[in-house]
Amino acid sequence: MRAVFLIAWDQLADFRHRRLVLALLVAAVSLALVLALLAQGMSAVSKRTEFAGKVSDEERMQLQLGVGMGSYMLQTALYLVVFIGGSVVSLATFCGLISTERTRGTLPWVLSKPITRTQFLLGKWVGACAMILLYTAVMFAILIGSTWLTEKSVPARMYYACSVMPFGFLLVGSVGAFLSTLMPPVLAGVVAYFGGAQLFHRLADWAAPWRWLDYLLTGLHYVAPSYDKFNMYLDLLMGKEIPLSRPVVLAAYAVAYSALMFLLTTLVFQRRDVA
Amino acid sequence: MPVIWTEGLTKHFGGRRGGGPVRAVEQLSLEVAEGRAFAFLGPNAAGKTTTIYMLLGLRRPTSGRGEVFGLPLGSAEARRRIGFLPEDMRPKGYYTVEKMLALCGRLHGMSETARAERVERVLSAVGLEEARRRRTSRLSKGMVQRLGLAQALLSDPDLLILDEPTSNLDPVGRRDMIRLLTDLKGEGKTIFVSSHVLSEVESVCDDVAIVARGRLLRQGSLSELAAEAGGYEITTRALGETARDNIAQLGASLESQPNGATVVTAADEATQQRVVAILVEAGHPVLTTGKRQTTLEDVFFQILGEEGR
Repeated sequence: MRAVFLIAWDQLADFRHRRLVLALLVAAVSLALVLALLAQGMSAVSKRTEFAGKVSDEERMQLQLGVGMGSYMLQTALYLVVFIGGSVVSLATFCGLISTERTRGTLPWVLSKPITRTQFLLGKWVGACAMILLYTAVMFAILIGSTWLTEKSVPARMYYACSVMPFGFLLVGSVGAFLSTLMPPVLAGVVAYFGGAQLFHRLADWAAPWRWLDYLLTGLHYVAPSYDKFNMYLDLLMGKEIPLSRPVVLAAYAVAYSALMFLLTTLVFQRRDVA
Repeated sequence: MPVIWTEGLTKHFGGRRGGGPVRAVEQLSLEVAEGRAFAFLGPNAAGKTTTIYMLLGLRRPTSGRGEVFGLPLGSAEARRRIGFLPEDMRPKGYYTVEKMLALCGRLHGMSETARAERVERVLSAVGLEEARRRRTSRLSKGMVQRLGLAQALLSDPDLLILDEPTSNLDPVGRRDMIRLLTDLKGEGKTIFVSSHVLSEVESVCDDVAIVARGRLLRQGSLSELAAEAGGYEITTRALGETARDNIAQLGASLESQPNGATVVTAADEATQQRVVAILVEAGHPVLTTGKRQTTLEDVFFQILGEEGR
């Protein structure tokens, strides 16, 4: 287990020197901060009372409603940025786990040490998960903080929606990591991001006239990962309550699917020439 | 029990999209005894690095089997006793020399005190004490090679596998490396060296294997191979056509020297005596005769030449 944590720690140190991951992190956090500030600004404007006397009561109410809605929309946009940004950061993190080492030519001496390939891969995986947790913690603070400042309370649905996010990132990242053992990392990232269950569902609808293709795509729809379930922006937008069972089931699904992806990645990595 | 043992080790690459597979290593059977310094020689693309990678489990053999310390190839337990210097050492650029060695020590499961003590020792052995706090991205090629050797030596391994250890080193670095290898051999370590620089290998190694195009051409102790390749030399003056033909018929080789002399090389003592008899009969003087002094380079080129024919 010691070797796994050593590799994980080394992986975290490595992220500090990977420009793509850093750029994506900075961009996502900056955008989230800007949106949070805008939402705060609009919220503050909607609560101001100095319109009294300058505009009619009806106009004032409409103005405040509009600005308040804007603030609300910005909060939702903030959630979306955090979600999409997290998925992209996760893909950049996971897809490069092995390929970066391979490109740098560091695998021969690292794997000549007394560690198994499974330990090496698990360490990399743990390092990537730690990175995602770090991202989630920062974004969680921005999202929850922004909501609290706007509404002076944080509804349970916001906590649930936020808590399920890192599992979504883990899911998309682990699919990307597996695919990166079969194809170039950038392509793996693109295929992992867009190749979710929803895509096959749409394609199956389109392929309905060709029965065999319809069956194939429907089958793939059930096998492919369901990312869309992790994005709860519609529930937040509509103010719908989210039952606790939903994030629990989704978390269990993501963990199980990621474990399967890890297993497949390990199987491929075990058989490959690494140098 | 040999430290390294392989039987019919084979590695083929590609061959799916038209064209046959690249036969990097073909039916390689090796034995490296404990405490010996073993030179693994061959021209470029002979399959040396591929063989080393298979011994370490970094590449999977297409067929054949092997053991290191009696454990299957690629066993993490066997790697605990191996120090490996890759041909193209590429450290992680953001580590300092000291931190990289610390990471290697931790991966070997060394305790804090043992690690600190070993880091000091290997830094001193490879002459990198002053660069200990320098980032590895700022090291020269020669220094990176020294760092590679330092990380290989860190765990005080029983078996050292060195892939072209003197590449990237200046003459002083090469001399230091040879001295270090000689010292390690003196400590009873088993050393497996792949190299192009035959003169350097010759001064350290006891046993030699020569490979070309993935095949093992010859394996044996340096003295055995030298004796086999050596033969006997007879020096005489310029020879007439008849004498030349008679000598060539015996299978001896003739080489004209710029000073007008002719050097005849005979494979064994009997041939040597027959050559001398022909020369005497033809009235040519025998200037010198005796056993030929062979270097590893002579052995290497002779064996490669035989393979080429």
